[in-house]
Amino acid sequence: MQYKSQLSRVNPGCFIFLVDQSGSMEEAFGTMGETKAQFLANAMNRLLKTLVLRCAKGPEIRDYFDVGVIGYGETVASALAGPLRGRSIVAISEIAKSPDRVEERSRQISDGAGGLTQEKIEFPVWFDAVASNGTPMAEAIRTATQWANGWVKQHPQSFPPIVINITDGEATDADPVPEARRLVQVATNDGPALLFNIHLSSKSLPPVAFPSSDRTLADEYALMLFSMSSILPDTFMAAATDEGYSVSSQSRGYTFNGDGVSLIKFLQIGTSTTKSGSLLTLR
Amino acid sequence: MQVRFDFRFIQKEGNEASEYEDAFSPREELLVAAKKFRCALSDGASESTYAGDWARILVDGFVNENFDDSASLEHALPGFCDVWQGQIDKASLSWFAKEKLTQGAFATFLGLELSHGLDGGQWECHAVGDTCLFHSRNQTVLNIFPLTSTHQFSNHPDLLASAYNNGSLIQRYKPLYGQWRAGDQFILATDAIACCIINEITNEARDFAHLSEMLFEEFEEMVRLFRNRELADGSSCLKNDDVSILRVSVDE
Repeated sequence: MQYKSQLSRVNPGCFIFLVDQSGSMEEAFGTMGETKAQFLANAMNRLLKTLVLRCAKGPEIRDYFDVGVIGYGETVASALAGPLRGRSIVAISEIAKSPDRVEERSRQISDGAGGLTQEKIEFPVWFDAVASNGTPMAEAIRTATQWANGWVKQHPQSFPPIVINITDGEATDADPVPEARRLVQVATNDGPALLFNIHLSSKSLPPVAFPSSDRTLADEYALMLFSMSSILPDTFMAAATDEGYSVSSQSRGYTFNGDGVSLIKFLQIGTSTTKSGSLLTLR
Repeated sequence: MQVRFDFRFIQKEGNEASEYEDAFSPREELLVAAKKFRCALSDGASESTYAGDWARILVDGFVNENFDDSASLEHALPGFCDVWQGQIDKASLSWFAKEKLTQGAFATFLGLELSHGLDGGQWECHAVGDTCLFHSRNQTVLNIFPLTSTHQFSNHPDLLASAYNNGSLIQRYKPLYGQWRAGDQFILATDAIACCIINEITNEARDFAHLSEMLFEEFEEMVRLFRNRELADGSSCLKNDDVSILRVSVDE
């Protein structure tokens, strides 16, 4: 049976994020006046923080995950900033201990009397907003395949690598589909790698999440990214259902033109270490 | 009444003994004559932080008679939360440990009280979550509580939280009352082994008395066997989790 391995320090999981940093990521996104690149940087930093917190036990971090972030735009390279600059896949404890900086931000919390109040929080930053040049997606996926290949050799019993590609458009270097096929041939004894795609299109078309067929996809790039996306294993289906999505056994890890909230939800589902997903339940 | 109390426990496979996050009270095996006896078992949720400490506070709180029902537990919880917060040296913590602390710790709870008065032997059980009680008489299981079927176990058990008020207890707090007779036995078990026992006696037609005896006699070997045995759906008969079982045998 595939996708049954539980995450543990002996058999950790692996997330590889592919982040489009092309010039078009300068376009506005959401309602807060941010660009796609800024929104994505915030979402990625929040996600890394969430992953760190999932692994925090008492004063320590348990290495349940390894994480890599590949940025693609002007270059294709590790997108981690600060002490981890240039590093490929690193343990979550290294992520925890080595943010580029810790910013002070505020968030609204309940004041206990029916109102809201501001609370200052520490916001670690590992990843900055970048937007320039083309979209070398094929090379980015090829890099992810290399990283994943190296990782599975060291972790043959682990849940296979989960690769999440976040992009706003077409690849400008080569057809990424053959590269995606090679990526999902990388496997551990628990199954082949998974590739999920988050598509932030500039076209004003209705949003789609976890489709089971390409019939509702009007955009040719949407069709391409859908074809590259893995079918959701059961555990992710459960996580998607928990988040209110309607999914079937043929649903793919693909979302089109979601808003900010749905992008964050997709990232949470794609890295679902929630308790609903027994496969990715931390042990 | 005479009460014999013993227990077995082991941490998750792959973890250090110091990482065991269930907690139970009393912490010593006993053979006592008493009019009243209390014991408790709690399972600290592994994704939360300092969960074992929280579980320990809950079981000690029950055994020390700080609460008897949902209302008195509701009243006692803020004090328990303060104790939990006070035990942690926050000044030395990194940003992630401090932030995780704000999310609090979570734990299940199961408490058992036996008493003997003019109207005979009474027992009461108080449960939040999926830590289970098995009450047996003459080798027959009379009560399984609060869950009764393997399908009821999930990754979302009811829990008690340490850091903030996580809603009214009324929906989550489940009491059960009964009368005991001489020779009755009560077993308290955290979720993994409780689910395994229910599966064995309902789906595999295993004799409960024999199974419970084996669990206490050959505990580590039985845990190893169950962890390695696959069910039809490919999952383990005993999921890899901390395992704790308490046994209370009562006589006139």
